[in-house]
Amino acid sequence: MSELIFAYQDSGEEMTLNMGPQHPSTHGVIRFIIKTDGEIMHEAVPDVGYLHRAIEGIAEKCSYEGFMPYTDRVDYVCAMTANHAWAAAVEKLADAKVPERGEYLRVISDELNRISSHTVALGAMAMDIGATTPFMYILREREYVNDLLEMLCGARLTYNYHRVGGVGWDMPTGWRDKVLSWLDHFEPIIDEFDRLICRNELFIKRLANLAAVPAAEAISFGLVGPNLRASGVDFDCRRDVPYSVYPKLQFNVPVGRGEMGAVGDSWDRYYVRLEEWKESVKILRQALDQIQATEPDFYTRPKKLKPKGDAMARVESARGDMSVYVVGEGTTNPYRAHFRTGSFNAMKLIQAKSRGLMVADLVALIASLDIVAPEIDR
Amino acid sequence: MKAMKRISLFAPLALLWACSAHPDADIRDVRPLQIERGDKVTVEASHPLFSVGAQTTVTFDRIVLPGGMPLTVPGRAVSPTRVLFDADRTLERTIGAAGGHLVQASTVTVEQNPAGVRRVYKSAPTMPFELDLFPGSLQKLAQGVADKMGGGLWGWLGVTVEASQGGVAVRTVRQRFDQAAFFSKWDTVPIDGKVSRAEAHVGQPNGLPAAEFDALDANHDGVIDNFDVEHQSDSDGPAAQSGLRAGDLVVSADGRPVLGTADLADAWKKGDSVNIQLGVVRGGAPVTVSLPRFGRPVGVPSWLISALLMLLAATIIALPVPVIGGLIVVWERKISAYMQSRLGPNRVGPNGWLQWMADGLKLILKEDLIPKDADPILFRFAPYLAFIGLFLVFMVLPFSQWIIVADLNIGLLFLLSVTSLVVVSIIMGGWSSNSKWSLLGGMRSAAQIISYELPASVSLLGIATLTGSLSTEAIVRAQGGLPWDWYLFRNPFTFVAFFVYFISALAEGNRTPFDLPEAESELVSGFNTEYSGFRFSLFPLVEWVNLFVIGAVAGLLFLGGWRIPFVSPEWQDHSGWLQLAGFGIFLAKILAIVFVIIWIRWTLPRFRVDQMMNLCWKFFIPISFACFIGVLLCAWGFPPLVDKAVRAVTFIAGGCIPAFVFVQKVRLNRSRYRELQLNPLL
Repeated sequence: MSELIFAYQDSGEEMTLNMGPQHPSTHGVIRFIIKTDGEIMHEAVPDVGYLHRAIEGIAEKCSYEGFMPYTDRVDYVCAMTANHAWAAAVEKLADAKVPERGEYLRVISDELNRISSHTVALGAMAMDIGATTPFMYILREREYVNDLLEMLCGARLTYNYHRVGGVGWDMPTGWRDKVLSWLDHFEPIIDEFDRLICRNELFIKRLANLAAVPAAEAISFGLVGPNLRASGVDFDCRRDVPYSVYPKLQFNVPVGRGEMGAVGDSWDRYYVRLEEWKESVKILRQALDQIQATEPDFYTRPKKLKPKGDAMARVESARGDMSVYVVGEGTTNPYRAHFRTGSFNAMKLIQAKSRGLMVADLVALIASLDIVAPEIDR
Repeated sequence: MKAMKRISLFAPLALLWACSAHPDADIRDVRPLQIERGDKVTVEASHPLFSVGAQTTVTFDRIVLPGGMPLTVPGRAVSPTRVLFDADRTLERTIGAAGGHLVQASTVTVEQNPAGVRRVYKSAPTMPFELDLFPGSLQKLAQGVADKMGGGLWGWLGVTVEASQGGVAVRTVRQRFDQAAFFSKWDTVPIDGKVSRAEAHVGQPNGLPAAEFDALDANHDGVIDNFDVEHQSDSDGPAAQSGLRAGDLVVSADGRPVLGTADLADAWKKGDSVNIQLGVVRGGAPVTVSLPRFGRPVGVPSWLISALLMLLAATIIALPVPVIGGLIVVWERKISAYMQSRLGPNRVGPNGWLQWMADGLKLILKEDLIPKDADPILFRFAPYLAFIGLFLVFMVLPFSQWIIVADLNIGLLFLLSVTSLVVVSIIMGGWSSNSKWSLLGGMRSAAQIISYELPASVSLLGIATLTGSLSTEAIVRAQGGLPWDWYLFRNPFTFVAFFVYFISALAEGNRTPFDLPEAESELVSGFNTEYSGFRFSLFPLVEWVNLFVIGAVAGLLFLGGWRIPFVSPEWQDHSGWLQLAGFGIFLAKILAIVFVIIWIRWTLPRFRVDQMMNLCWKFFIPISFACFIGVLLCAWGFPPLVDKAVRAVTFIAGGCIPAFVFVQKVRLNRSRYRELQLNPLL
């Protein structure tokens, strides 16, 4: 980074713009150094590291169970899946069993959180393009999800709900009906949101064919989750690396079809997330149906948690494949923990794709990759 | 060959000579061509022709107006080379009845009937006349006030005068009142000191003349009493000393004809002789009266009165402008809140309607920061320039016939040019801030506004062509109160031009989907990023007042402005209540358009710079020129039936059908979500 700033030769034709760290559309504290010729960018270099909180280092100082609240801070927009990833990795390491009801509760909470994370992604994207109203519309739904999750675990953003060996609490009485009635409400809202902004002529003009990532390029950049699927790669951890109770549930994996332009353009990345809502609703209905037949036990706390060896768990977070690698040395603390997150890889893609785009396109590109700043740096 | 050449050289000259010698070419000029009610229009002949005092009529032929009737006006010959006629209410009604205010005539004919012989004088047939009759306006009012005051002249002279047929009539002359001499006319002095009309023998040979009685009866109660008498002067005015009497008709001053009180007052300003010779008609006979020129007190000049009145009107119009801006801000916030299922401002004032005051006060109390490296002068000046540019627009906006600061005959041009000042201010602010983000915003704005000025101006040009005037009042008068009489539905081209203008105006006003100069998600705040405090507050103020201006311009040019259905402009001109109603109608139109603009803002995303430029240069400019050509073809004129059919088709296809489809669509959406439970957790 430093050499980029100081070794840069001013040719008189380029202007160096400093976008961020405080900027309304960088989705957190990210900084870009943009070299532009008027409106057209020559390069946008992401400067990662502003939100580094040494979460992986903290893991080495905490017990396995004590680290759970910190995982919320890895990705605060979709904290439940980070909980899940850590719990799954430690369970694998310690060879712990999870009661079936616990697994169902994990899936239900994951999917609810995925929906709320995508509301932020899609709403903020529409807002970055200039349409403010969809953001308000869809954040109302996020409030309902937050209410539901608050009823479930007492927190609205950083849940700390999953445990090694299950979940913290069973669902309260009547909660299941509330979720079902909310799903009845939410399904038409998805269609309404679709009609509200996705087919808008201006919206399509801004996003179609913008920074299209072909499948091979997406794989080589290590894109995951909706960003990868938008490029036409049919891969989803929930189906292809089965974990928890996902094999028992029926759902489709939406992929980008290039409906409005090239496959893997920003509009595809946008629309894949919208279709994932529908799949999440499907999963939630099945899981809420099947959970009724399970035993009441939802948490089996491991007696002695001093595992040895290493383990890796992959979980499909809202931003894609979130992998946790843990190494244990037979003590109460992990020897090493590592999070592999989707946003970090997406950041590198921005630099590659930014050449020739306009300043306004950069904002749309960042938004379409659904980058969450804390997830980049951890 | 040489002879042929010579002939061919002289032939046009000979032709010209032949034409000028033609008896039809007697009328030389008609002045002034742009007239207001109360003006006197002079028809001048090239050499002495007219006989003074004979019955005279002036006729304008081939009026280019719907109805194509010749216009005949009674006139009077004041000199052998001059015929006058009054631009009075009757003329206004006659022209108005033909459907407008503009008389376009190819010939002017003066017809006289002296001594039973009919004599006709015509203008050359190639000479076009355009007589433009303006309605009463503020200037007229100022003129009236100035005339009444006469710069203090009348008071000093001791006369009251008023314009009359053929000159200025002297109503009263202030005279010294000799009580003893006055009462000695009668045998007995009335005990109560009161003299009634009968006691004064008014109208009888030995009695007091009626004019003198009226002059003495200052409070017009039919009785001369002590109260009246005490108010009589104790010395003669210069007019009385010179022998001017009540009832005189002043027709000339120093040899110049006197047509109005202003002409008479002018006699004191021009020339330096000790006395002014007034030509007076007294009881049918010409008399010369010599009045002193010097010694009068210095009065208030009429231009000053006019300027003060304009200032007053400007204050009345400009003071509410920040309020308008503030209220539109609150209204926009309320509409957006409604659209986004929020509450919006509801704390300050009744239902939050005073939120703008709190915001403005907060901004004024903030520290006025100026970046260290900013250009100190330009940075400070830029917001005021935007402010000036927008406020000047209000000068030519007619909120009704009466409520207008200045009805300029170049109103539309003025409007387009002063709004450009806002661009200059935005570029100035963006550049002088010495910030890259501000600069980007300023440059975007410059490119955008300059590009979109073109389609906007060209679409407005079509309307000016249809009206035949750039005056905003004239454009409104040329429309009607009902939708199919508006320019919007006049023909398909004006219909398209309206949308071209409307969208271009959005772009000029930096409104979504063209809010690139201040795109908050890209440039944070664009050109005004570095501003704070009061200076900052001017930019949003200008932006929101601009919404009002867009609505007003669109309302004036396309939606019939202040016209009330089934009410003619002349009728409306005579009634204060109708003025108020017209103002209300105009305000409703403005607010409807402002609502649409706000609605668009909270619905649409933003264009990208290149897409916005493409839209302008590749689509709007060709469309606007095509519309302009179409409007020109339509301005050629349709037969009345075809004209009605074109209006009907445009109104139905452009207004009714889209409105119907829209309502159906809204109903469909409503029914689709009727069952939706809005709060599922309750």
